[in-house]
Amino acid sequence: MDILFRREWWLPGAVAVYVITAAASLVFVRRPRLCGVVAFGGAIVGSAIVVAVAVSVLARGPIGGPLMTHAASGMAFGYLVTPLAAWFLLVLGLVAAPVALYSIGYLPHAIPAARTAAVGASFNVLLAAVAVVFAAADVITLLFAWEIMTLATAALVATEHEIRSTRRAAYLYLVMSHAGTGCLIAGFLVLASASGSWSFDVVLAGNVVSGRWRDVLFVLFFLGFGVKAGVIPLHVWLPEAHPAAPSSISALMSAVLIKAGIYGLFRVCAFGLGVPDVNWGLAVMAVGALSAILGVLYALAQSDLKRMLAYSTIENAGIILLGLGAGMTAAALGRRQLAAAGIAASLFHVLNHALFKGLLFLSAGGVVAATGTRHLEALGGLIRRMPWTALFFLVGALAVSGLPPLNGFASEWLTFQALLLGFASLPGVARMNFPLAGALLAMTSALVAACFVKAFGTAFLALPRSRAATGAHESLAVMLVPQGLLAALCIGVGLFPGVVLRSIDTVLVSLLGLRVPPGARQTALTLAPGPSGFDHVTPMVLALTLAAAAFAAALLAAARVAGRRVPTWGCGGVLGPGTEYTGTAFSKPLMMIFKTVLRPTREVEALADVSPYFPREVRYRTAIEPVFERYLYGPLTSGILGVADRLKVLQAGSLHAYLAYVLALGVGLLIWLGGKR
Amino acid sequence: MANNILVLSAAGMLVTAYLMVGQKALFTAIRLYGAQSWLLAVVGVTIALADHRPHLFVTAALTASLKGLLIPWFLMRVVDRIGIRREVEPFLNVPASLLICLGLTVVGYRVSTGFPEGATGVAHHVIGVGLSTLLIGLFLMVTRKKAITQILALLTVENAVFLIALGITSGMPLVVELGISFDVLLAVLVLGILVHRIVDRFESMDVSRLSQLKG
Repeated sequence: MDILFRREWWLPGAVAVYVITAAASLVFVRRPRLCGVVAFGGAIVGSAIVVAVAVSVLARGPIGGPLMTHAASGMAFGYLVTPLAAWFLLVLGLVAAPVALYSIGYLPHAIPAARTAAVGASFNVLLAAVAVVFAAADVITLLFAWEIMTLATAALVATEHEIRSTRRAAYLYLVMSHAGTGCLIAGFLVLASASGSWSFDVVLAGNVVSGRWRDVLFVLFFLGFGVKAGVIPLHVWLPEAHPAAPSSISALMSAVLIKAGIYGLFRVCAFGLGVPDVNWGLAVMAVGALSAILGVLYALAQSDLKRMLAYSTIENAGIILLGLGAGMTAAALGRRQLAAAGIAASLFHVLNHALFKGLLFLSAGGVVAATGTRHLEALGGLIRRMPWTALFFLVGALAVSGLPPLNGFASEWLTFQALLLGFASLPGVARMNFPLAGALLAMTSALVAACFVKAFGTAFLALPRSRAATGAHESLAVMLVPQGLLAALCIGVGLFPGVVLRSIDTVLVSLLGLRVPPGARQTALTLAPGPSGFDHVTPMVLALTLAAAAFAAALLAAARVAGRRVPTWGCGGVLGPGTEYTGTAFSKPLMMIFKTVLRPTREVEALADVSPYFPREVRYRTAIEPVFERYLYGPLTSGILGVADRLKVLQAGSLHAYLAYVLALGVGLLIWLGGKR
Repeated sequence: MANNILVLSAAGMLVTAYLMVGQKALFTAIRLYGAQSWLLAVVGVTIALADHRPHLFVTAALTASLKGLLIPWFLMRVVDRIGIRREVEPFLNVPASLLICLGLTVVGYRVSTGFPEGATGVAHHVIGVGLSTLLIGLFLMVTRKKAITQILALLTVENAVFLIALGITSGMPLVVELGISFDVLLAVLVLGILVHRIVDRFESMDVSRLSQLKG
């Protein structure tokens, strides 16, 4: 029992639970149902311990300890849960537990029973790896866990590997991840050789390198972590991998895996290389703004539900980077309070995005399991057939749209405040960039709302557009309860943002070395970027006002109009699913406005028997141009392949050629060595 | 006196290597290898007499009997058995080959000053000759098409390595030298069988045709 009271055993304990569970789920490979319960039950236990670790650290200070010591080489691997790591562990635990519970009910519908063991094992390995990534105290541990995380995710993405596009998605993910990891290894090797240590205490103390090398390292780490974070233009794997994986895995990837990249950006790029350069902050903001606006524009153009959510993940990664970039810029210019506001907004959005995007993916998974399709135009009318799923999806949609009183509002509002405060208090070029980013963020929020109106309206309202949607049934309770938990968290965090901000204050104090916590004067109900006072907002009051306004409007409408129920007028024709407003039609005007960015193409084909005026069938096809795939990655891959082709001449398959290489190398070495003396 | 014999026989080894480059007849090339091995044995004996290292007599006797008699005999038998054209088919013509070998000799001599133990005197010549012979052996391997000529080239390289070892250390421990001798014998046996196989499969001994195996 003593072990329970020693905090430094908790995190290794959680990792051990995950690993043992992974092994146990492989033992029950022949009994899928039992295997699912064991695997995901274990994951829930592990996640609960992770949450306990995180809460304990946020309340009582950092925990660290050894993981492994190798006496012969003098290498010691350890972990250290800083407040920053604790915040990300909290996000991990809070999302992983409901996702695991959901998986028990969901996986039997989604994948062949024989694969339950593999998915359960990979799921637990992934959770263990992510936990170690967040808690790693040295370079080797981090990189090791980072690679395990990548491999486990690739295995999960490739669950339905008989589908060609799934294999392609897993391959693309692996290739891009490895390119990113290559950047990380290069960066960490430079840091480690310059400092002579592997420990983060030394390596990331901020005084290891200076001058140009700092910029080089920033770029390397930004690329390396940016791939995982899914920011544009490093995002191309994300909209392929998220829809390809089973929905509960998509939820975990979007909510937690993306955050591993964000964590790296925080830990290394923002606070590991010394005081950030102003240009770094502005670069992060620029990438963030680009990801946010392009992410949502691409999301708007999708008609695949999960693909749309994946693009929305890119958009939210952009918002997180906007806050982080604002904080870095302010820190570079010595404005600590402003930096605190930006970082707080960013950290808050990390939690919020995990909660609502996890919820949305789980609801979408329910829809996919019930109808067998992800295509929005084949859905419709599900609110009558799946009322609970519809309610939870609506909560998630409201949250992601940043509407009060849900949690998305709290963090997006803080991000706005940080950007506007930056305009008020910063000098020079930085000053102009803040309101620009703010304007882009405002546009993003509006477009997100449009995007989710489209998704919810098309999928849940009106009449079913296909037989699959007509025959849909509500999800199992074991799938609805986790969605309910996440929805409750979304609402709770939205109504009591002050509670969350107090935890974030702990992180801020540890990161920025502030003496007075930035939000010292706020209460549990208010939301404030700093102690100044006039910009405080109370979401509870907003919520009550909104509810009162809605109630009053309903009363007014009921009082003025005497109701008469009649069918909708159909111009004399019959109204059916075919005459419904489609999701594509809904987003068409916005696509036309942004056609310079999206470059939509369309193809209309009318099949007629007698006269073109009486078409038997009209086919409409629309697509957007994959700009980054075509103009950035296309030339890149063809360039690499071209170089490889030319190098292939060296590998001629001729024994004589190989012997000639040996001879040439030998003579060259002899001359070189002889010349040295 | 001993030094003169030493340098003379070492230089003779280099000359045989050059003759192998210029030689077109397969049998003559094999005999040249035999002669080279006898010269190596002479080098061994000279060092044994001059430095009073009796175990080098054993080495020299092994060299002369194995490399000077047994291996050439075996190789000739292989050539007879598989009944191939008794001509060497090089990629490069003889004058060009000789010019390149001249360059390799310059490199070998230039580099031999780099060895601390053999910077001056007799050892310098021995090492210079050894390195040049080694490079020429490698060059032979690169430019000859027939598998059997490549075996000859490999054996030349081995002789050169042996010579360099003698020049640097004045004789390695007997166990090492015995081991090397039997290694060479085994290598030749294995390669001989391999040549049989190659001829069986491809009806030719042309190694460049192995590139068809490439995927």
